[in-house]
Amino acid sequence: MRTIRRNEEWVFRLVLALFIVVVCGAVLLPFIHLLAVSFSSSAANAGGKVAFLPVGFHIKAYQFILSHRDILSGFRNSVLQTTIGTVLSLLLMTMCAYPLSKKIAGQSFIIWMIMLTMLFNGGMIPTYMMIKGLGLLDSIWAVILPFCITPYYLMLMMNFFREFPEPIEEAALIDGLNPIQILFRMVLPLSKPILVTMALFMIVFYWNNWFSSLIYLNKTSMYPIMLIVRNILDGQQLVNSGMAGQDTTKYISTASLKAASIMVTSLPIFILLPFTQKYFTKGALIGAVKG
Amino acid sequence: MNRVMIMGKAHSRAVRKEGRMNRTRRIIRKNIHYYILLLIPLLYILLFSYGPIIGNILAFRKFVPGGSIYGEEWTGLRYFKMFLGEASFWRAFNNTWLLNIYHLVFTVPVSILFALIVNEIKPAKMRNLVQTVSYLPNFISVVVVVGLMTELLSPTYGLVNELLGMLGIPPTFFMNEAAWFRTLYISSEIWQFTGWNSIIFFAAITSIDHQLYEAADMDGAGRLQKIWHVTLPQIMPTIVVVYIMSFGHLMTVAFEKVLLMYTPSNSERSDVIETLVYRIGIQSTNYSYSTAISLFGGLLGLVIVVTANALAKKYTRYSLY
Repeated sequence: MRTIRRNEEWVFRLVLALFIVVVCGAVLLPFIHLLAVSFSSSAANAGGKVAFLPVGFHIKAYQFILSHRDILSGFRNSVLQTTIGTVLSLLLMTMCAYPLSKKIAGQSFIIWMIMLTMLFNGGMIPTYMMIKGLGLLDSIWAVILPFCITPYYLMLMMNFFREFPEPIEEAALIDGLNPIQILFRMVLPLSKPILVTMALFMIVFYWNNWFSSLIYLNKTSMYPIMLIVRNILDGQQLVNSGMAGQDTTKYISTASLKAASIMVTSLPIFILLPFTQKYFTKGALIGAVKG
Repeated sequence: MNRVMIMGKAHSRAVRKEGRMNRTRRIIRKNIHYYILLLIPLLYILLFSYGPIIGNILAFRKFVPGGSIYGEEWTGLRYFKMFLGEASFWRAFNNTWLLNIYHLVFTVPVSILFALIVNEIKPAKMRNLVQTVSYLPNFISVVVVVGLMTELLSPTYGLVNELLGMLGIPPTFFMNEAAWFRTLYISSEIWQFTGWNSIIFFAAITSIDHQLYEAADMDGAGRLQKIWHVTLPQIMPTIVVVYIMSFGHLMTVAFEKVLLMYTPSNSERSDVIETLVYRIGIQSTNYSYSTAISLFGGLLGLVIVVTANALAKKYTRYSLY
């Protein structure tokens, strides 16, 4: 009996080890492959010779991409949209979630009204018509404003503020601070976990956002990086490049260009995650599950 | 885990402690600032959430270029009758709910299984490593995910077709084949979201009372028996809630991903309600007609959510609201 148990335990550990390898491989190998492709020569890529190590190593694809007008302006636009969007979103959601976490008249009606939009929203065309009606077409605000308040995230924030230790707020009230001052001076500095989580979610959202730019913006010079990358991946050529006509085609295949553009745009997210992980795994669950 | 809270009830801890008079006076004095804070967010929600909801009136009115965004004259149910007689609508309709049923059948069990296996990894460092790695794809842009798929599956230089070629299998243009669309859509959803979606199940597992496992140990239960007889029954409430919530999305798909994967040659399977609305509305500027289609899908989704929630309330103690 004991030997059977021991054998079972041994098999179990082997299966777990295998599981770890498979999960890590499944997630990371596609990126490692594309990384290899992005550094490989045209001939190697065209012949399908590249697996997980570069063949005919060169960095011309990156040089090309990082000096291309559309990609540079794409990065600029994305950074701008992400910064404004995240700041505005955090501000609006805080201003909304904090009062709604208190017992005030009309609270449940307002919460109900907001949550209803989670179940039923205007849909693509009416939203488009409204943006158009507001005269926001071809404006950066068209791709920022519609996404500032996400009901689900609002709910997480409300639940966080509800759990906030009341003695701190009461002491501040006795000291003569009003609730707005209490929010900005006392509560927010102690709300780092939820703020970091929300900031991460919004940064990722705005950085990855491309569809609204596709329908609301007309000029390539206003496109965010993800829409530029989508166009590259779609097979649309990058034109008017300073490097065109040189030895570009000899080294740079469409495959390495596509791979490089994927790597370059995913990199900021890869860098951001380790710093925020200790917050977001908890933050994502606040209020969603309570033990 | 006793309850799953989606919309919490108003708290009343502090309030109870104080006298009624005192409380009323304080609430009035406190409240004005709260309403000042709420003012801008509420105007925002009215404009950006309720504006488009009211804008759905366009489905019943004729839009004239240059005219009001709410249309110019009443048309009644004309646009609804129009699309209900269209084969292309029914194709998109069936593709939508079928894709979601397959999605529901495969993704949730995989996330549960993932959480169960991760929970069995005892060295904390290894467990954290697997979790960290598995969260990563969740944050990657859908543009990149579809890009990865297209590159890996390319018939001319993709890694997958190269490997198949070594086995003597001729290259397949997977991304262009209608027959492969659902498989690719769902497997890439699994790739991207399993780790992230397993968080909720993992949290449920970690909150299980340890005494239950100790009791199982005393009875001589092995690892698999403990999973089957302790872990699974204990996380059943979470599983039920996740399934019910998923039903709310029966009429919506990961639209951006479908749009990125959409090609005329796989449209037999990949054309869903939202891609149809996009083509008719944004690309062909038939605003009223496309609004009618999306309103129909939205209302149907709402009905399904409300029904699923009512059933949940009746048969389990857990519900959305």
